[in-house]
Amino acid sequence: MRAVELVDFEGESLIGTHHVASSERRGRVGVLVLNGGYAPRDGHAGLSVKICDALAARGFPSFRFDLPMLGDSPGRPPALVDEFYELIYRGELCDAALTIAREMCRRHGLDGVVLSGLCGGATTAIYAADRAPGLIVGLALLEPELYKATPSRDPRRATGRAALVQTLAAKVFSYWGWMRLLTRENGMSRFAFLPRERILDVVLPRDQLPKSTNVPLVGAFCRRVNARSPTLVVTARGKLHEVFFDRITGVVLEGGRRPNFTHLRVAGTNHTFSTGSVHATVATHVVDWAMRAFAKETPHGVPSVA
Amino acid sequence: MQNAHAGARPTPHAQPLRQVALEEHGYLPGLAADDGLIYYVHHRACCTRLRGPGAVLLVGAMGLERAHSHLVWVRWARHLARRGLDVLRFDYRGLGESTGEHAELTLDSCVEDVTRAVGLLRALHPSSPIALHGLRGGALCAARVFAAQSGQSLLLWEPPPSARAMLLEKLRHKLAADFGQGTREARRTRQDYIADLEAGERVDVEGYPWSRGLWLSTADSPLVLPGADEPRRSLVVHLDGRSREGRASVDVPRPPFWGESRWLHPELSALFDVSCRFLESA
Repeated sequence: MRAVELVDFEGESLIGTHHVASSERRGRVGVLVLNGGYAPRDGHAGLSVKICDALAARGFPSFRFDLPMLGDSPGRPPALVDEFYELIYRGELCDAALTIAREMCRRHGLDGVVLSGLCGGATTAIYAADRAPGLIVGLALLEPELYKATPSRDPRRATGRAALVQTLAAKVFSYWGWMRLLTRENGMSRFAFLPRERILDVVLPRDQLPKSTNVPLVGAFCRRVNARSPTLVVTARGKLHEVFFDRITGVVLEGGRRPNFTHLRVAGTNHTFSTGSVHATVATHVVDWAMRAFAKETPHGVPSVA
Repeated sequence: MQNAHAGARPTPHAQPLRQVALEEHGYLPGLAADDGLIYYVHHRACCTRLRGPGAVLLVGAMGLERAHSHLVWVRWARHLARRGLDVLRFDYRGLGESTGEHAELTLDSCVEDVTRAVGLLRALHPSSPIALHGLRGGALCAARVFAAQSGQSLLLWEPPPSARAMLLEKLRHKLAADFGQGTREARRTRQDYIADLEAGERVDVEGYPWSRGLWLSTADSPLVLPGADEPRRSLVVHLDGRSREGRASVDVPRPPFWGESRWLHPELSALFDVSCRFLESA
């Protein structure tokens, strides 16, 4: 069962969907799924809907909200995707996410909220959890982006053939173009027969932080993990975000092994999990982790803070 | 707070949720009890207009194009509401905020959803002219419903030549993604996927499961444009800037907003102006 929820934030109403938990009694922990990048709240190909449906079926009240300027919520987004990600890198949607989480706790009698999100949603979730650790009791991060990708060429500067030439040049001469090529996130990857792993080890040494690391974000992530807050990370095996995640956490978490930290890798898919028919796998990973982390036995058998 | 619970079977026309300024969000039941619910957003007109249609039904794009075009679609709805038009937009069952499985979505179910949404808008505006406006796959559905004598005017943005052509284009993207991104071990052809669909297997395209029902429903699915003797007005707008006889064309930033564009808020004033002029004069 679903219901539309509205939350007031800075004089506007943010729009969300509540997946009501199947249990007759209220759960004590809810899950709030944030927009994956700039996608509407149903997620890429409905991934967020599937995750929330699966969580609600196991007794977790689950919510998907459109943050300001996204989906059905009000606000004017920046003109360019790159400009939007600059806002995300600085954690500027964090206040809205925390307002929603607080309101869901108040409205539905929850002890805390697990924040979840893909890519930019994961970034906002990490910042929010660091700001309000008592409210945000866990993180379920899909393809977190612990680095800052340099903004690409501004498409306003060229049109027509000039734009095409610039696009090709950006692929050939850009660091990020090559990184996407090496991690098979680029349409040209099929034509590049390269020793990918060896090249990646050279350009991204495993014993130092990449120059593009989003240091404040990584600091926030480490504080949550080191504070033993339950944290799940799901990545697309071998893809760009996983490569950076491994390099960064390999340095800052010294191998990344913590009992409260789970990293699962999904093979045969892409950054948005929209290839390889893996939606059910991703949803199962999130639900299984949530059950292990939060479904401590309670008198009425519903999820509580473990 | 008034709330429409998707499992609670709200009555068709009286389930606005709490009013957000001038927007109402709700669920519209399908025809049968187990048909799923159609999520809709009603953008109330912000001012009174003297002429033109009283209301516009926005029939959105399908699949991943829905997600890519969402910001522009919402922006367009709000733009029209500010111009004094009442606007209703919705998600097809199995897509976006509507309930149901995408694997059960067919062209016919989408057309049925458009018809249901027209019914809701007609109930809200019993005596006003209604315009149907479709984007991409939604344009195919809007044109079909218009051909069945629903609506007083028809506006189409970049309609594909047919639903089958649209699916074939998506399959081509799938092949490129699977191969380029290395997400399948064995290389397959478009014919392989078509054979799978015709054999009743589900094929995952851009994350959405396609069914045999969807594939077969597009077998005879050309864009149905009104004939020369049709008194109701219609306009097809192409968004590539290339002129075509009898159709409007404007240039929008590339890649277009229903694809993997780098624009979240592209400059679309020419498109909005052409479309508003048509709607207001229809």
